[in-house]
Amino acid sequence: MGVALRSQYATLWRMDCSRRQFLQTGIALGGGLAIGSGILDATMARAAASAPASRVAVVRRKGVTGKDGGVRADVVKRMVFDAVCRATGLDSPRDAFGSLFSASDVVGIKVSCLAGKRMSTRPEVALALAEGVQLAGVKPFNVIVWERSSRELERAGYQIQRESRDLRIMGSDGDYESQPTDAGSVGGCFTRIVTRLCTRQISAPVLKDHDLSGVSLGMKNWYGAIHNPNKYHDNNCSPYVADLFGKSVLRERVRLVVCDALFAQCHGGPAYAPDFMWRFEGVIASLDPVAHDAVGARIIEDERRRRGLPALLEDRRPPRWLERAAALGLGTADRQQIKLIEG
Amino acid sequence: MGACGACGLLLPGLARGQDQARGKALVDDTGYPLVEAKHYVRLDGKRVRCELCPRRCQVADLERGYCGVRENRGGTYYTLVHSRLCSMHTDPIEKKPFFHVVPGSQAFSVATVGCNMECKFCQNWEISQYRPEQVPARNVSPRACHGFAKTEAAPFIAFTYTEPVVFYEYMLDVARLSRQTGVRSVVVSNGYIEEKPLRELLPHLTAFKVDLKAFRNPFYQDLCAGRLQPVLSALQLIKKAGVWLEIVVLVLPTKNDSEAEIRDLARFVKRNLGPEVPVHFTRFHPTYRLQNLPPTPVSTLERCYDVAKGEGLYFVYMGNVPGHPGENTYCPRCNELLISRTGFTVRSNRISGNACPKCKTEIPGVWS
Repeated sequence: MGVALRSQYATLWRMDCSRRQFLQTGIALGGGLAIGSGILDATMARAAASAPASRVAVVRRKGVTGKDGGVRADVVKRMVFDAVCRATGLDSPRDAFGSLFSASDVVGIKVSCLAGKRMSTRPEVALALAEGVQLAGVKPFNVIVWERSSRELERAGYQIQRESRDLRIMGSDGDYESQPTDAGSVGGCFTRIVTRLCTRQISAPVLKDHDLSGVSLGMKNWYGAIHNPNKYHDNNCSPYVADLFGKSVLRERVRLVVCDALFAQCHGGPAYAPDFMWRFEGVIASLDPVAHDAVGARIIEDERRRRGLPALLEDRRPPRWLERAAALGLGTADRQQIKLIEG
Repeated sequence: MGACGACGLLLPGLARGQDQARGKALVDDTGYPLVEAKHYVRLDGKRVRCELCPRRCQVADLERGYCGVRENRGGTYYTLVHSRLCSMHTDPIEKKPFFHVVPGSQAFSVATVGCNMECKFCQNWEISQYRPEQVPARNVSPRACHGFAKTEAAPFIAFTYTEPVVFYEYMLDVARLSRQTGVRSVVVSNGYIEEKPLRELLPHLTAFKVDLKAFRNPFYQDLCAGRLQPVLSALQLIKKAGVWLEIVVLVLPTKNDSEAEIRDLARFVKRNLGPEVPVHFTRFHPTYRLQNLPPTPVSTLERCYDVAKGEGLYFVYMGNVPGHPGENTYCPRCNELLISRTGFTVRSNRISGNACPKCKTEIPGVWS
């Protein structure tokens, strides 16, 4: 299996097209998890073939970021709304968010704050998402921006608001279920923010490289939801990223992925590595977490190629968990099934 | 200091890091000593490779190793658990179990969080499988640890409950004080440690108990996220170093209890470690991620006992079966009952000096 996956990954990532081509013509994910490839069984293959195209919106605005690392909050908000509208295929933010959330929901927004202020989900992005969720009728205090720890949130520029009647911002801070949940190869205790507090979740990662998993995007973000993520970094985090996301408490509750790609990092992650950061000035949104991560990974690969860095496969850290996620039916990495929408 | 036998009693905090034996006197932002790890190498791009255990984790900046207690900060690797004890408790040394180490004595037993394996049947997973910031702890310097042991009239400090290898720096600093204080150090470990750090540690120890999880590598891979061979290497190194060694095998029904496997294990022990090394076969109870197996039948333990004795091991024991004759120590030559036990309680000890009172055969162990 290992050999098969390796060769498939090579096929998947050897597609040679420029980022411009990629963005103009659609997904450059070659090969796909081809039907009949030996990974997908016949049932999954039929399901994949009949599924509607997965939409991934990439919205970019030149000048949204400043050279000082700051961002224009008003523009960020419009980008987030625009991306979610494009991802859902709906015209208005109210309809778009309303198609995903209802007034009775408690919605968690899982941000990624490991790397401090410079390479974490910007508060401007999280706040725009929170505002969008409220357009669906969700009460402000039923929107929770959260991360593994309050300390990480504070380092990334968030102000903790645990008891607020307005938006809540808080770390899980060790509040886990008392018993582990097995999810394929993964066994961990979920934060109770996921299991008990929230009915719906949004993954709000950043667009960055990861030293072991290749890239750290929408699905890897959920490592922050379990008490023992350190146990799941072997073998380039595969199959663990996919197995974790395949757990029903995530798979059924995560409705949306919105990636803060205002600044991105193509090497040296997960820590902040300024030499490998660039101003992508984008927001990426999708309802399909696998398609989202496949697109994000491709963008990072393209930037690596542009800088003369080895491809992730050559760097011996290809994100094979993408293939596993597709095989589990969590989404699609098949270019024929991904519809890229630029804006 | 009585409390939960599994996780131990938490004592009031002490002055932090007052006698930290090595590393810079840094304090973590959580208030605990931040001590540079031993046995790692720096790689390019601020990465490090840990060389403490056979996993040899390559760890990027801001990330932790598999154990969850050692973190890369800007290319320097730190232990986050030096002096950060989540468990402290005074136990009978039989609980470790050591059956040939001053029977009836007490061991001041300590642990930090963390483990370099993930056994699906871990009985202490609520501390071994967590990260430092997730479990309440107390700051206890190495010298304070010895102070507690003395207060408890415990002649031993035992590093136990979780996996001492992952709090190696603290364990080493405490063990190094043994000669000064007279409180000896014993280790209860999975034996998953590289040769170099083990060699550094052994001269400071009195006894070492290794949990030999099984004698088949697939068991280690599937149920423990580890490998067998490094443990076998560690066993041999411990034995060669002259540190008293005992082995525990937790017997899981259908997983590691075949006669062939037990026979292979016993033969390995006899051939490579010596027939005098005690081997304990202990009873499994469903826990953590392995709840679908029944407790080990006593008859299975008896079969393991018979196989190991049949292969020529002198001291074979059964554990977690209080009152069973398999808990007792018998003279390997004349079969005289030497030490009678019920659970962790020593009911009688007839060893005279270090020999059988009847046939005068020397009984190996640390008897005083």
